[in-house]
Amino acid sequence: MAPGEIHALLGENGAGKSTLMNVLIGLVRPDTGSLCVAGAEVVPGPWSPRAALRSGVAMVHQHSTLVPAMSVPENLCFGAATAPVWFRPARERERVERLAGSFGLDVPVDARVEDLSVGQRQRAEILRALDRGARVLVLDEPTAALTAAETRALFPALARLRDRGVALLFISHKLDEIREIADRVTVLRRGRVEATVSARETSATELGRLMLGHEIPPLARAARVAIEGRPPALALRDLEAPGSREAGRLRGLRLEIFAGEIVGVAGIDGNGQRELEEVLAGVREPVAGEIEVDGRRVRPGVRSLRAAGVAHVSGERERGGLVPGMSVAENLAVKSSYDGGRLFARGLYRRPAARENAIEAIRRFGIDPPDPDRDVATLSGGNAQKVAVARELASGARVLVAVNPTRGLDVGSARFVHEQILALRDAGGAVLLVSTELDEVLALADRVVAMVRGRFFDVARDTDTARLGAILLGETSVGDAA
Amino acid sequence: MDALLEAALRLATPLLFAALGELLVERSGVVNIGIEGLMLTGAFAAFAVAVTTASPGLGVAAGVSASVALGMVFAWFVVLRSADQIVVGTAVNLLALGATGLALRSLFPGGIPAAPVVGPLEIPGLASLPVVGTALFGATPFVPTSLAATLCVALFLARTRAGLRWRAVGEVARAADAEGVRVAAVRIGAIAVGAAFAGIAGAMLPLAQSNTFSEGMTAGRGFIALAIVIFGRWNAIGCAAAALFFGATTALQFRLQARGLAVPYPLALALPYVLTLAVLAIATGRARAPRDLGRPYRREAH
Repeated sequence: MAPGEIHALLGENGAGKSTLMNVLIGLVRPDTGSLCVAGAEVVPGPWSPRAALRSGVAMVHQHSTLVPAMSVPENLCFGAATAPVWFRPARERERVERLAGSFGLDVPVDARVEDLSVGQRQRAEILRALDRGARVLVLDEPTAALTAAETRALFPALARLRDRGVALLFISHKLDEIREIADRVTVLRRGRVEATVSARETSATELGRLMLGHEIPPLARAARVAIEGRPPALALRDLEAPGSREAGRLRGLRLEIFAGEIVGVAGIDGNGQRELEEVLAGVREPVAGEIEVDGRRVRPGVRSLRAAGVAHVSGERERGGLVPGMSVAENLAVKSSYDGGRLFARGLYRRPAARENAIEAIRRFGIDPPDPDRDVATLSGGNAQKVAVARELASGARVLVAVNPTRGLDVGSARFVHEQILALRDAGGAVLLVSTELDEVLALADRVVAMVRGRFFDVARDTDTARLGAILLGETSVGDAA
Repeated sequence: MDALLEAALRLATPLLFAALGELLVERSGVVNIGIEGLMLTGAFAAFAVAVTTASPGLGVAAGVSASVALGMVFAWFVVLRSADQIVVGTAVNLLALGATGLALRSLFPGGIPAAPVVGPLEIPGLASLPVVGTALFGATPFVPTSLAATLCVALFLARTRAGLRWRAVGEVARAADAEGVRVAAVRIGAIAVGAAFAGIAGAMLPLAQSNTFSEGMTAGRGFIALAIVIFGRWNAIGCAAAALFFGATTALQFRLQARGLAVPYPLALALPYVLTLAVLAIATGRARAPRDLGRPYRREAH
């Protein structure tokens, strides 16, 4: 990497991106080989997070590594070798404001980090790296958690850093973003460098091929097969629920999904998606309205929804219910305990049957490594999501609630999840797909509704991305409420 | 009134020292429930050395050293071996209780002598200040020292680079590590300083309160200190207020007994605990422990 370059690093989940990052920032010591920073060979040699910081390599993590209970100035000071022994809040606040101003990365200096937005935290994190005198900045999926507007604000800031001679390693799954912001792209596959290409001269197809080792065929999508003669497979009747924030409060949601169709809910994070997900997962109590499955009213609770055949896949795997520390086989079995399933006999866990079940799921869903006893915490994001999908679909559910089901997944794993969703629909299942990725909604859904401030709005099927985006931002009025 | 304040401060001081020590340890992410054992060890070492050398000053130094030494055993297990902090802390308590009892009987087979006591600080003028004069300066130097220590601890945590590091380690050890802070070194350091405070708290008991040593003389003060840290919401000033509250209710309780009120004495003895529980139940709503409290830290690639 050259100084003043934005270099993208691309690869499937499990291709070795995380390991490479951990080597760069000193958390993992390489077995062999060498690493040079600004002309000085630092590996072989004593390599640690301290050493990495000293040589000017810093990382901006996907999940903020700032200390939430501290303010930004406090966060900047505790790790700095050059920070004075006495911490003087007023002086440090002013220093941080000056630094932020000089890079155009404004952050609040008084609030605790836990009260900042995702974008503000990220700017604070970049600021901290620059404060350490970083010359090489590793950005781990910096746009994954950002809204479209925050992403638009981030890119010029990154370009300014590049122009000031900082080398940026930009890790992302989003091929469009890479082609927009990066100068060169290095593709990793199975722990090897597959190729390094110029970002502007390559295409998304080319990058996909390098990443997977083969072309990605266009998503095959059969015509809609919804059967409307029968009662809807899933119906929301004037559903209301309190929100984590005011914008997320559900204000009388009305929706019918029939067997054999996918209804996509497009929206910007924080407009009630999370609340809707929690209501349909049975962990948030609605205050009004009803949920019906196959025309029958279902009490909103985890067990009753599950018993009615509603499955749930979440992009936030901690909330979607995988239990880190438990094996693949155990995770696949956990929910089946409500089904009177074959994996438990009179309350006793039948380990051999659960392993059989896991081996079958591993084969069907291509979970790698194929080991039923492996702790799910050690799986890559894509494979963990496959376990979650396998568990939900294995129960024979006819209704699937999928919320950002491919968040953080690479192209190959995302494709796999999409195929499973389509397969369920083609087999006569009903899918509620809630996603902040417009392209995902438009590619999969038979019908689209927009979710804005806790309400649904019907959207015509042929709406393009730009118009849909404007609707979601509240810049265009839409027709009647759905 | 003066006498009540004096008694409250005197009773609060060992609790405050122990709580400040525990506070520092907990802000670095370690729960040391062995603080009771550290205090007892400090008390015994202080007593034994003070009796043998006839110097209360040397006694205090010995109490601190013994407590720190035992604290380092705790640190070795919980920081370097990532052992469970509750299990090791309990072991420290049991070890201290057994070892001090045994040592007491083998060192003083002919009976337990009286200890030389730490006398009051005689600073001319200060003790005659109105209201707080006697309470603060008519008593032993431990009392004003504990209040000064409270300010030092508060200042350390909020206004020094090292204090920020301790807090960062206690909140998100992984983030602190990635920032180049040596997590293990910080935690061992915190345990050492915490043990030193517990040692002072322990040394006070035979040298400034009972004037002798008896088996298990800490009588649960270490555990009270653990509660005071929570009650004081993990900050030094809060701990001082909580310790004073506990000291005051204890003093009040003695008053009630002395007045010969028609209350069975075990009920009177329970008063400070009941009041503390009541206040804890009402007041802990917003208290928030350091996030990584009690979690051993191991570096690993994820």
